[in-house]
Amino acid sequence: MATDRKRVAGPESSVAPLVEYPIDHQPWTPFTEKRHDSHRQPEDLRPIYLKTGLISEANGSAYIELEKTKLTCGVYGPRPVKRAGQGFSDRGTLNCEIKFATFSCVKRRGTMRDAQEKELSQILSQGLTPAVRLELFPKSNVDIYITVLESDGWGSCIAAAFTVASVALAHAGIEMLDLVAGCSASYIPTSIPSTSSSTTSEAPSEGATGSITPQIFMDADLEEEKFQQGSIVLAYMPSLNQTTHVLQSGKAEGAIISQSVEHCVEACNKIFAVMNHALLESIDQKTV
Amino acid sequence: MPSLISPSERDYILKGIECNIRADGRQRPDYREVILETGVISQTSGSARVRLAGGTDVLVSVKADIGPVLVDPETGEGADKGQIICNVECAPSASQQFEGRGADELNNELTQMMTRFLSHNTTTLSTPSSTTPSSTGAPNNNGAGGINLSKLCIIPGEQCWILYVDALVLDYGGNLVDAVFMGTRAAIFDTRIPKTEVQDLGDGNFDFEVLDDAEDTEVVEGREDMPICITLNKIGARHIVDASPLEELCTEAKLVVAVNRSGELCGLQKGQDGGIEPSLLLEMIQFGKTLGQTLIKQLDAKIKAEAEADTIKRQNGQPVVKLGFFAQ
Amino acid sequence: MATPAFSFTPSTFQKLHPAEFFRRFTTEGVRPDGRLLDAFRPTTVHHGVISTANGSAMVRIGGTTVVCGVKAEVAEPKLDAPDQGYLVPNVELSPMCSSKFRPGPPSEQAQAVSEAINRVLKESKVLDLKDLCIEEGKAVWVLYVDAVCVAYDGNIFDAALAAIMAALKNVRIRKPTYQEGTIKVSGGSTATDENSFRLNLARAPLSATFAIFDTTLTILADPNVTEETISDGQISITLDETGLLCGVTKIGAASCSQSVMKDCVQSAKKRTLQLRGIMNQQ
Repeated sequence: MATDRKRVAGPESSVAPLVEYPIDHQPWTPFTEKRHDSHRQPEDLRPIYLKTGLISEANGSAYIELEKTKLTCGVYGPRPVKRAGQGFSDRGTLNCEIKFATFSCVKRRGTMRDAQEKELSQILSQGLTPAVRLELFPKSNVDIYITVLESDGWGSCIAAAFTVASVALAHAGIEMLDLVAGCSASYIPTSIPSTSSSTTSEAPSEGATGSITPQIFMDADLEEEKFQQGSIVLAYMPSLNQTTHVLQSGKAEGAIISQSVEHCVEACNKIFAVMNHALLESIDQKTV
Repeated sequence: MPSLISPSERDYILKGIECNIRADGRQRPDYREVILETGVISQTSGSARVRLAGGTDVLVSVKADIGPVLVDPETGEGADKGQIICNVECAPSASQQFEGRGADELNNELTQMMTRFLSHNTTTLSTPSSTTPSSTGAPNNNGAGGINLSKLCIIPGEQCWILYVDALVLDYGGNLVDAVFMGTRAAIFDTRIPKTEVQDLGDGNFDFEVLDDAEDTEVVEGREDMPICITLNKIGARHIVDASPLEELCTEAKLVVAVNRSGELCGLQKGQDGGIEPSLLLEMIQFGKTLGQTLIKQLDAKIKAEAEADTIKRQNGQPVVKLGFFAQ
Repeated sequence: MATPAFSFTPSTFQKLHPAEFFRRFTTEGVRPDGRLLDAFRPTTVHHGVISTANGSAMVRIGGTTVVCGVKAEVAEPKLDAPDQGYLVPNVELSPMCSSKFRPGPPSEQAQAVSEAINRVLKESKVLDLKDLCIEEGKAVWVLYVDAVCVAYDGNIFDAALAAIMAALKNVRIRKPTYQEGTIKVSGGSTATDENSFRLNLARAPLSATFAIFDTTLTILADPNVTEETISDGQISITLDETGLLCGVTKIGAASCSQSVMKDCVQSAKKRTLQLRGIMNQQ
């Protein structure tokens, strides 16, 4: 890491220690137990805690918690575009920035915004733009800043970012066509692949591995993600019945995809109710 | 690459697409002609150049290098794996918009997408006994990227091959993502990695030697299973493939579908600032999948034909002449 | 002052003449938010809020919220201090917490707060860095102490320092084993006193901040963001658990007489005692 004169400097480089597990250590696997959290069924989401108005200085703000996953979001704007040379725009722009706190993941993250965070920021603004009536504020900019305080599952973290950002936008009183709810799902094989027990270093034939149909785990946490074959994150506007973003990685068959999209849409409708509730609560607070 | 479009031009394109006739005479599901050539840069381990008739021009190079393995301290994963490091860059000469820092966002988006689609490896925690760091279990699956990363490992826990995949966009004529992925797939097909010989020095130490024989090299295993991307652009209520720059400006939402030869979906990503209905989304995925499979077949045939022609020429003692850079 | 020909609503008045609006309150011995001049805002402290960190805490002082997480990593020690680890405190004032802050490198304020806290921790020898040694000359622990401001409403110094101290108190690090250049820690099962260690904190400095108004010679305890902006300067008094002074930081161009200083220290003593009580509650 280059020396950063604007922060208190530590050593030039440091690494996380290697973790050695005791022999009797039994990590969770999808082959033995249903889910990492034994109270959940594959289609169950984690309970969502959503609250608005924690950042008094922001125009709108929200906080979301899915058990260990914790994100905060602050919305500023619409305010005039500051950057020079952007030219006139008859539509407003949505500027989204997400930052993982250095202590938010198992591995310590850098203090600077890395490439992944930049891409995520772009994904979030792509997924939120369809919902916002940007034509109402030309020449202006809406800034959405999200800080991930703790991440327990990559997919669920992105999904929660969509949810929390759209609630914060609504809380800021920015006109929207609909709220955007985010939901993630992982494809996890629930039986041990037949070839895995072989001790030869020879790669197994492709046919043998393709036969396992994975199960869809909604809102997977970090332990579960370790076993995933692929995952999908869907951002969805429940009232308009529109997906605003979809991000899938890993190998999956068409049938699994369509099934998981359906599951996610269903889950988004549930999340939508939570979002509505949180927003109604914030109105009640204002009127009291 | 224009950045603005007049309302009348937009209207023209929109209505044309509604009638299934596009500005250049194609129909909605028609692809432009793909010009593909491999082995265009001699200093690389593999290279390819892809052109879509009418503009887009992408040069992809693969360089195989030896480096230390990347081990996850928490799980001990990655000790027996090689790496793929992707980078996409848009040349400032390709478009006025790419000048200065103008291409930064696009570069990052494409690089991240490529990294996710190619080196996303499914779990190796195939057995519950992750307690033993010396991973003896065979990899249960090559990731969505297709490439068998375990084969790129030289000494487990120490050294491995790192494939640096660099894509350079020379000219912009729409549908960049598809061209970049086609080029990458072809470049990996063209890649030859030197063989290595590992020696056991006793007391758990190993050493290796890179065999310096240009004739006796290895291909990248799993290259046939690499995905390509099909970008579908939703314009109005319809969707088209292989959009031209003007059509891209009319696009409400685009969907990138990564698919491999057996029709498995290897990645999905929405782009642009519009929404898609879930039912249309599924329809588009299905469409992209079918189209991708046929396209892969055509590309494979092209690569195969080129390779065969080269071998025949070599056997006959004729020089293998590539069309090179300025060929049309 | 002539009576204006037209009248304002209080909120308009506040926007047009924030200082004057404020002065009218303080002369009556009260602040716009209803607090007395020497009153601190309600404060809460939560320990262990982040499971991915080795130690963490969240501190709220009124509208200011700070989350602090400590991550322990392994590094080579400095050549001139082969048996000492590193303690790296940083305060992040992200653009999310207030419109005052812009994206990009840390603002001046963030740098000042980080440096002030670093000085307090270092100079008052809160932690013996030798405790962080794993193998002399080979490997030591680095404690990255990052305090992220989630919501900014003034008095970041008190909140950040309290969060950092609470997080350090909360730290648990797995006992390491050093073997041929690699450091290993045991994983699995929950952390116990057997497989992990806590930090031995020699002192526990906590601070109290006051805003100074030169013209009216008013001292306000625990200023919020509006009070901060119209004040002439701020003074932070840092005291440890026995009431010994650990540091005084003054920012801004305000002057501060000896008697004012004494009052501040007295008030800070009371405040830090109260804050200590809140921190030890959980």
